[in-house]
Amino acid sequence: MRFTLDVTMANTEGALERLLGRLRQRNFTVCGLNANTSANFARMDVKVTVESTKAIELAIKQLNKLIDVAGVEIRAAEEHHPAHHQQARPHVQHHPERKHVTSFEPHPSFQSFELTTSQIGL
Amino acid sequence: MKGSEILIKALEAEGVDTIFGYPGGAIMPVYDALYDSQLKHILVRHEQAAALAADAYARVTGKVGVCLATSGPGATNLITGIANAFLDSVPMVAITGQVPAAYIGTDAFQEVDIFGISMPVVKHSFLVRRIEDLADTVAKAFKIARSGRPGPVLIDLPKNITVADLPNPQFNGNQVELLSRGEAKQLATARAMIQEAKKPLVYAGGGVRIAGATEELRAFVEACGMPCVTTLHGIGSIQGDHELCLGMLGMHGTRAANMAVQECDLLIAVGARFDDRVTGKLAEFAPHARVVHMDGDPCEVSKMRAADCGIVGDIKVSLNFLHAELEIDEWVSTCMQRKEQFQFKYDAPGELVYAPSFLKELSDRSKGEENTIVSCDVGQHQMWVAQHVSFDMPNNHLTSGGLGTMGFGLPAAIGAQLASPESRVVCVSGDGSFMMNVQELATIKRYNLPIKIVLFDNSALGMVRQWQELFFEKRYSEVDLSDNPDFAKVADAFGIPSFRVEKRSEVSDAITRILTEEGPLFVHVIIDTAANVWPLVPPGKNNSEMLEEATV
Repeated sequence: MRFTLDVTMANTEGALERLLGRLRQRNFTVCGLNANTSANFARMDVKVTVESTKAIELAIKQLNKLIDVAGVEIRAAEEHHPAHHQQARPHVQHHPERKHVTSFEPHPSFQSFELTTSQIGL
Repeated sequence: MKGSEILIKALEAEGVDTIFGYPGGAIMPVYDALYDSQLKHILVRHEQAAALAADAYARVTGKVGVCLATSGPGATNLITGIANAFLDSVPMVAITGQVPAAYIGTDAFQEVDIFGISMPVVKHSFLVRRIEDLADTVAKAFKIARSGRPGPVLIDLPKNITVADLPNPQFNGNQVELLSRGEAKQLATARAMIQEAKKPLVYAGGGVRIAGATEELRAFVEACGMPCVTTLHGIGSIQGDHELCLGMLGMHGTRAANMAVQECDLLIAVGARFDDRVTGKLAEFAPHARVVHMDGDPCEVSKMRAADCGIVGDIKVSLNFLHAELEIDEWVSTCMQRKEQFQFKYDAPGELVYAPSFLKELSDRSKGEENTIVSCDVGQHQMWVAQHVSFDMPNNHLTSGGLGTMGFGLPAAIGAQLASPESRVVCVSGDGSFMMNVQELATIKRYNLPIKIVLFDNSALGMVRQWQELFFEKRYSEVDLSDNPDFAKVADAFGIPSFRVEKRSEVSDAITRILTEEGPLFVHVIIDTAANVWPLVPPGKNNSEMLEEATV
């Protein structure tokens, strides 16, 4: 399954790294990411799309355990094609539309960036 | 006030009195401040030992362990000890010096991104950017380390912060954030499940010690009159000689414990996490049981085995709501019969010392007025300690469970002896593990710590050798340590009295010396290379498929 999560977190040093590291280590593959800090840098709103054979509740519990994370909600759930499940790289190539699984939403914030699998060279 | 002084004051405000560390360039301002401080600093001889000693200090005192190292290699050397604390949920604050902020990111001398390196093995981490944040960061670090499920917290401290000046810094002491008890609805469900059960069993883990719930666990087990098995870290949470205690379960567990788990119809996991060394083949673990899972960490509930009832919260409180009167005599007597039938035997043939017998005698004879703490390393001797030493309290058994850190034993004994100077501390080690932190003999000598070291020497990496014998067709690859140094001479060279035990007939006198001599003592015990740990559940098998020596 593929899930998009809305994560609200304190924008402390390393917060985004911790979030991504935790997802990776617990076997959730990140396939889309949009992160924006609030105007005063204090908060970060993250929209992250992950794919895994694991129950999404495990990811939510693990993220909630991070000290910086204030809340996690499921924004969207999507069935994926099983044949492409274990190969993150090929399925991006074969399904270019997936690059846009996290659409860019302008955010009224000081800083904004979006990474898709194509932009980070996968 | 200088940043380094603020750090010391902030540590004192948290009730710290002992820290373990090793100086170096980027942390020098802190060592300068320590020179005038009341804090007791223990100089170890490798930073890994600082972290491991702080870990054991925390386990014994229940306080937060503190270790200190410089940037670069000092910081990276801490990592194994930090990871050890992370996997065993030990509260720790690790403080590392860092190159001045202006040099961060320039590949400066002894610069390493310890904040990044440590990330997967800390509960949280801080890089202090402003001196104004320092006192508050220390307070936060301690609060995070000890609240909820405890764990290590790293503070990376650039040198420009420790040398900077801040007038009138504020120190706000922090309180522990307490867990609440589990939800009433879940507790009621669990109680109903306990009342319905015909073959209920308690499976107690390290969470019992962490929650300080030893008394509550015993009261619960006794009120329900149900048998109890423990994990490696659960050992001592119920007394080893308690009639309802069936011993340790899992790979090297007792037959009575594993059979009870495979047959029970209700498994009440208390602060345990269904680790792979416990469950064996997970799909066939406790196949007839419904599961009540009590834990302080919501991530553990249903992580490995789906719980029929999950109770997240303070198990110390929750356990009190689960008492029930049960009619399970038949089940209890079946368990008791097996416990009797499958007791460990100590009649191994031969003249060489049989390590399980040695440990059993040490355990029996050390009961008494004096509290005894046993630290161990990792391998066969670690399992023998778990099997053959009887513990009355969980924090008297110091073992590296999650990470399985060879080299834990000696620094852990140091941390334990400093944490509890009145206790008798025995470090049980093996010839492989011992060499991983052998330099700490110097620390024992320096502080004249009366630690008794028992080194079981089988001239091999015994546990790996055992697996190669059983599962790799006796292809003994890189496990021969027959060229070990003369360990007794090594201890002598560090100024620690030593003697050698080669025969079974010498064991009794050796134990007398361990129990009566003042000061440190090193006992080099020669054992049979071929000795294995039994019983054993082979990898990938379920816990009813236990191998015994006779069956191999």
